[in-house]
Amino acid sequence: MTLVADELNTGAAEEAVAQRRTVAALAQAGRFAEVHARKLDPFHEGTREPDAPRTNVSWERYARRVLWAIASDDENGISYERADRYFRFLARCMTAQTVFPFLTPDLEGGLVIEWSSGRTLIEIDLESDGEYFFLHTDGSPQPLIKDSGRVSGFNISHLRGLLSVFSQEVSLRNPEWRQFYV
Amino acid sequence: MAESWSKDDASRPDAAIAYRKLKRVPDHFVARDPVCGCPRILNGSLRYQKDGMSVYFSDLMDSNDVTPAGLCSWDEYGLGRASTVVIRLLRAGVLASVDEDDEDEKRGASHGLVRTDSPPPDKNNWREIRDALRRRMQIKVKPGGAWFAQCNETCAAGAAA
Repeated sequence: MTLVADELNTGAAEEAVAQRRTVAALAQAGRFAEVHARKLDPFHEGTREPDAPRTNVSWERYARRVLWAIASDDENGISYERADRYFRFLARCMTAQTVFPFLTPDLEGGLVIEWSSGRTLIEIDLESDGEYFFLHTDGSPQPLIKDSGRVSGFNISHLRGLLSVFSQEVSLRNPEWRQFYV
Repeated sequence: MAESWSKDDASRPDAAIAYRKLKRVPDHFVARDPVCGCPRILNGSLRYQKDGMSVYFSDLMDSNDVTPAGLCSWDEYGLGRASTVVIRLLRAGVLASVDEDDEDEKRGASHGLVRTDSPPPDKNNWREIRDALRRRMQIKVKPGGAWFAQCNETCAAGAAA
């Protein structure tokens, strides 16, 4: 909505615009719990960047959309507060160049996060009790890495290194990979 | 409880196909290989909970006039499949188990379970089995569409699915 249109708005329309800006700011920060408390939809059309090309979607927007959908369904057992924490975990793993992960609830409050293409799988399962399970496979009979423990002790920098290599390989083969995540 | 755990019913035919409903999150989002666009089965969709991984067996479906297209709401789900012989080669077992809670009695009568040596969660063991199983499964994302194997190499067929 342009500045000219804002100036011509009635009070009700101005209020709607202000609400959408609030939603956008909260959602930008991954603060799903507050968005839910205010009964706002962070992915209402009004918060969409109107001119953003579809292939330039950010991992943050993609992850917020999926985590919101997961938290919105009570059967998944993931609260909005927990979705916030999963978003912050992803923020520690991801860069603007990282291929987006697939996110699946385990129906017990946990989240399965997968980066996957061809033979390669990088997976981390975040369990609701603070435990993690990590798997890196390439289709060989034995996994390349299999590890578990407390999330607080997880080697994030090692994961970032794996994701960097994985993302470079994917991007070399298909620079337009983001088209599959909208 | 361990004494009563039944992993496999040997009378179940190796040739039977096991179908697995794969819920999409969000409903519209089809997970795809980022290189070739082929539909991707997620390990997170292969859950081992309660009394096993829920599936439907083709021989039981035939007996009850249930088709693969009738197993799920395609607005929310895709469908995966694997043969029983592959499941057993991966050290898992299969058995029939009527789903009494299914409002569709015939579909419920076609229900079965995939199991490991131990009851759920058997997490570390199941997570390796499910990844191996996933690589050998096929997926369909719409009722009239093609079955896609899980790509091990780049291909050009997936983006059109």
